[in-house]
Amino acid sequence: MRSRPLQADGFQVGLIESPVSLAARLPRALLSRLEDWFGEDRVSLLLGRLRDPDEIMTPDSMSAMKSCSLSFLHTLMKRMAEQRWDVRRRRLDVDVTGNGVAVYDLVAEGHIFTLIVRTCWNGEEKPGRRMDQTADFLASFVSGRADDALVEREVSAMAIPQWGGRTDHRSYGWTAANRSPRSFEYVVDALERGTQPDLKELSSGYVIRNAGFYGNGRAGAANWLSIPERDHPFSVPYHMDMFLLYMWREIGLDFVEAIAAKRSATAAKLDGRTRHHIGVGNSSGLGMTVALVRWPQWLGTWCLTREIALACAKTETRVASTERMESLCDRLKRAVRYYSDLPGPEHVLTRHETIAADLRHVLETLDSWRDTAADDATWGDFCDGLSDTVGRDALEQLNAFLIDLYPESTDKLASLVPEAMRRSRELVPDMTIGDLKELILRDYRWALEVDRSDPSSAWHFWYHSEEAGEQRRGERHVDPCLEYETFVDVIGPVQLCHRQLVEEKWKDKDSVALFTLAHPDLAYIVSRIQFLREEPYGEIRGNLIAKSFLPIKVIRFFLSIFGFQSGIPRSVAWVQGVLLQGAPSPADLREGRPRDWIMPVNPKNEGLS
Amino acid sequence: MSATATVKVSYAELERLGIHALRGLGYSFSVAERAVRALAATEAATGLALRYISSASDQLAATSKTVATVETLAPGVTRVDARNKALLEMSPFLLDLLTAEARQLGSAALLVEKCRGMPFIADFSLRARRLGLTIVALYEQAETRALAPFAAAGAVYVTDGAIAGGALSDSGEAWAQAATLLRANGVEAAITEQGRSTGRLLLLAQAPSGGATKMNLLTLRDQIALDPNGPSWQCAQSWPAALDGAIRGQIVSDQSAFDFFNQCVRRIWAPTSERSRAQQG
Repeated sequence: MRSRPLQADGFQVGLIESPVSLAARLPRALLSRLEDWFGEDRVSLLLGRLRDPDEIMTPDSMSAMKSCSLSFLHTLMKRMAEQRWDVRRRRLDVDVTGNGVAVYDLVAEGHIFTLIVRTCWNGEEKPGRRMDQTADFLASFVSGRADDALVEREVSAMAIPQWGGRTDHRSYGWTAANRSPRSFEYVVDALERGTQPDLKELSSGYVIRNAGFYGNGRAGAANWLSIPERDHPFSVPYHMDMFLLYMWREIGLDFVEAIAAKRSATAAKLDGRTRHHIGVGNSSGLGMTVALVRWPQWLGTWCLTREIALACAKTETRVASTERMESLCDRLKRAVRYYSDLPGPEHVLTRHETIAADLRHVLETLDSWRDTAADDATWGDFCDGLSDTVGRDALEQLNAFLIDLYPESTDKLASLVPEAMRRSRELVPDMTIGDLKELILRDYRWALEVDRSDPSSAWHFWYHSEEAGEQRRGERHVDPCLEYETFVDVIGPVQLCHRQLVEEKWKDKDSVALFTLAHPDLAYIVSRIQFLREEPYGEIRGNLIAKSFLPIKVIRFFLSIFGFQSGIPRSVAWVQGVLLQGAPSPADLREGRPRDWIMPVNPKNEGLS
Repeated sequence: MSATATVKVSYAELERLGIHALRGLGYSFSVAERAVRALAATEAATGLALRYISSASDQLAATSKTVATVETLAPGVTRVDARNKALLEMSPFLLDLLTAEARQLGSAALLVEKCRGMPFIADFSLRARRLGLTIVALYEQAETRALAPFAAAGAVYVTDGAIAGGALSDSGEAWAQAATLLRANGVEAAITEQGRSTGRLLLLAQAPSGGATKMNLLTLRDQIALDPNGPSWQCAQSWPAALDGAIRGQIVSDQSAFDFFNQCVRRIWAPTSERSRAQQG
């Protein structure tokens, strides 16, 4: 085993070994489950294929990750289709301007829910920020069938500006959306004239844009933990958020039709092709970085599940995958077309045209490999052969497609996610100081190695703004209230903790409880270090407060977990995109009509080869 | 007497915003992050947490940066000087220390002095249920009459994952009975000494593997007389169900205390520079 001296902030902390194998860090219970599913021999193979967190958990690597069948939107849509969730509009009342109320009922797996929608259009485009006075659309998602009194109550509460109203535990939370004014009015005008909108003119791909889901207790809404862990349609984390995103698409489509109908007795309705094409917009900002750091078990769970799925795929042989080749080729061709049509992105991210070119090369290489490679050559061999000729984004897109090729693996692995994400962190008080020091050296070497003597390495800090508490990023030597810094920086506390353990000469046999009582401000980082000892992918291995750090890299990663195909950065800390273009309609889901809606064709290019 | 205005609050809401509110009172993120569960759980169990924070905010702020000190009186017996810090923040640390020592030595005792905020004993005991320890906790509060209806003293027992306890009939007698368990350690006097500080807890824990004192903790529990007319918040048997109900449903809290809580949240909202705002897009 390779050893090398480590220097951190000028301290000689002794020799450390190379990282312990990943398999040794995984919980025994997880390994048992994997062996039950795949057999001991196979598990041994795929564990050897797990990628090093030092390699893939950097912001640059994370930024290249792509959505796959494990992404929350995809697992939700699959469930909705298989279980034939039944969404129906109960009521929609709107005036010619677009002010009104709608109610939707959902029956899913024996459970009943109601979505209560209020719309109010004041003529101004809204960015969809928490600090906005209101939103064009607000909706409350309640358990059970809401009667008229509950509908009225929620509509009134949502009408209070700047989230000033309150709900109670019958509501899971409130969600907001805003018009894309140009697109929205364009579609209404077309329908009013009795025609279908020209999809080539609808460049954004959506008419309304999601502005967030405020659940889990906000404004008095239900606690997420009140949802049972099993046998409930929304027991999987983020499925409720994704469902509401899906509903915003439907609501937007229903309202453009309804407003057009109010304006003209001969207004058209959207045809099926148009309804399927239009998606829902989304913007995401700094808060996503904070969430990923704040809840490392989410990050660790999702990444580990994906890495195991990828390892499963990469250990499959060429000869065993013959029947899936065509599917992979089809996906790659679709991806080439998809990325070729997308503009940008800027901000030092890989341009989409480059990804398209790389994927063409992958296709050409696959074409040859499928006929010439040895029978026992694996997908892992194929990917390894591309690593010098293809960029990271294209490789991760290929990885996502490989994961998708084996639903028999991903279905099993997806079942690990809900339970693992619900794990809560507790400090282990009787761990010894000696064991804690070893953990830090084993798992946080990357943090100890960061040189914090350079001011640029600790340039920024996150904070809650006086503008409705929105998360912002400030500069340490410019902006005030550093004492209220939002926790984002793992490196600083890890370094401080390690330094205190060494400088204060704690005995190896002393308990962690004594240390944290003496240093209560380090209790959080100690419990985090302990908690993540079995989560090799739980930390973003980067300096998130460095001057050079771009939040968009981590934001794009988080969006890929949700199911975004591609987000376009609008600044270093803000990413926009569109979701659900081509996705099934509620009727498709109700009637069990699945659709392959990944990477839809841009209407400008329909009919082109 | 006019009814106090109330508001329906979510448990998750208290946990999320509580970190910010406690930071607004001066606590570090690390301390706030641990204390927020004490806040939410105690509010769910007793309805007193938000009112306590509202009434004792100056005291909480004044001690938010101080650090408790620890003195070993005998093997497995530790004195903690909480330096007037509240059990709100001390609860998780005390339970950590008690657990570590009990697991290491088989049994442990903590004598905590100059500690405030005894209603947060609810959180202490709710957390303790999952640890597999047998625990007896006695407490005497230091708060003034202005914080009524907090009763003067009480006891909580955690055995086999269940909680029991209530207000004490005779606090002095109860403490003396408990002190006899530690006679062999030579610390009985430290527990029963005259002029002892108010705001005290005596925490006794026994691990499943522990030795001779095991039966004695259960015997102690049976010996100590509880006051049948004690205030309802101190009925420990009701705390687990109240907590479960709060997580599944909601908590009814004092409106003015909740308003104060939200004021504390807003204390951490900082002015924003143009450069900072521009990054939002």
